[in-house]
Amino acid sequence: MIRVTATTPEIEAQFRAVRRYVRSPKGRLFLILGAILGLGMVVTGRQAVGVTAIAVGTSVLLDMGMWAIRRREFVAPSGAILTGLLIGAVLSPIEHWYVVMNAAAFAILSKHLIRTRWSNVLNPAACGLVLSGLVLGNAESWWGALPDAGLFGALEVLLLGLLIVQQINKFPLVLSFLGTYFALFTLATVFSDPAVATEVFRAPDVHAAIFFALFMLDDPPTTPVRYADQLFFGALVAAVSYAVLLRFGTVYYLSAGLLVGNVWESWRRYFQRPASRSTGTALADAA
Amino acid sequence: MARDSRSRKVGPGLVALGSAAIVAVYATGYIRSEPTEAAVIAAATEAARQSLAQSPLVIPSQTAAPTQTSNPTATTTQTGTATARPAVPTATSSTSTGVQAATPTKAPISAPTPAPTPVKTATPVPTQVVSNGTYRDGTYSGSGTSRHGGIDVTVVVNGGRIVSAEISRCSTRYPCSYIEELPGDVVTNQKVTARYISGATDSSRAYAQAVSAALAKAG
Repeated sequence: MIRVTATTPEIEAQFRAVRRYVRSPKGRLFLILGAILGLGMVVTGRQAVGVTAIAVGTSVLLDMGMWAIRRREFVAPSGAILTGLLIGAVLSPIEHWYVVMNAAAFAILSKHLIRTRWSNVLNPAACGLVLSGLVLGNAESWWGALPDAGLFGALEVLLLGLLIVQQINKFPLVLSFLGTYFALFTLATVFSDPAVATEVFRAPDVHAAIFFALFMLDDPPTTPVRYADQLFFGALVAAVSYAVLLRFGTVYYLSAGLLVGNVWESWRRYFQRPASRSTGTALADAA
Repeated sequence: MARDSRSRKVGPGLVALGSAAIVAVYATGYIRSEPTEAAVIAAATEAARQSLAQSPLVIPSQTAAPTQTSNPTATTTQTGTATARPAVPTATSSTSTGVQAATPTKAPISAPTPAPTPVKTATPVPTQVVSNGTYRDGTYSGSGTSRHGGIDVTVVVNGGRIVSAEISRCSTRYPCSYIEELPGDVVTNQKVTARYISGATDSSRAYAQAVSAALAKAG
């Protein structure tokens, strides 16, 4: 048996910090996304490594720069790494490098520039994907959702994603979204042309919806806490995503729905804010 | 209430019930859309079949069957799967050669080899000889569809050869820049290739379907 013994207090403190990070939602999400994307890279090929590296690198560098400007100090870019991983997992592996960089840059800039006293308003990855889609017209392959890995890939995404959802207590949000999303498209197959919803029920779109619900939709800073609010938030995002896809046919319909939900949540927090701002200020400092 | 939501977790029974309901709704939608999906697949299969049936004659040069000699510029090396058509359409190719000969173009002119003489190439490389002059000159349009939207193409035939197969309209959800190399493939290979771009499979299929439809008018 090997025993790890800290030789100095500094090393011991670092070890505790790493252990604390791994146990935190961010740390767990990092490990889980790493496992999923690792399999995705094996299935998809080395181009997936490149697109992910560009997204993460751009996010990290820009985030560190923005923190340096805002606080004039070093802040570990743990959130930026996750943003980069998510953007890399969604964009196509054959995407141009400048498109990936732009998406990551949009994401980090939105996180730092569009914020309330409490937190950022918009989900950074979703914002980056929507803005990049609007400006550059890029595609989304959602290779990170493992649509090419068959049933094993879908199960891996689902089971690992549920670990995150359970830890951050967002089951009502995820279930509300998926239930409303599939219900709306099922109704579309009944009351209109089934062709409009055919792809939603099949790979890669169904994998994308599950990955989105488990890893992007439930971002704690931009989503509600109360169960009733979670239920409404999930249904709202699903309804807007449905409307965007049917009306505009854009590839970023899921992210667009999430942004509308984020704006609604921010508006709700503003008008339902507690009388005392002390808690909010503390949260803002921690974000 | 907020404090309750933070401290309490949703019970596994409720999660299982909700998940079961979602799976049921999903299954309903999947089954409802199955006929549409089957129709899309059938259309794509038919397009692929037509693309093989209407592409210019491609004969493996190693075969001893009656074939045509060709200008070296008309010889292409096929790296994909074998696309050689049955020997039956050879006669069709011969007649089309005559059409081409009557039309003064820059395209190489093929001369038919006497039938009884088996022609064998000196190189063991699996080079394939493409005959020319299968299509009528003109500009033809065709459309292809996929689950992600449609693609229109404009195919220009000059001297019996495809000189361009550009995308004239792209309404797919994914940008057509992903399949921008396919028009060049069609011109190079003088037929619809069965090559699908990774990450843009449906768009590639829609493009192939559109070119097949256009070439059907030119054949």
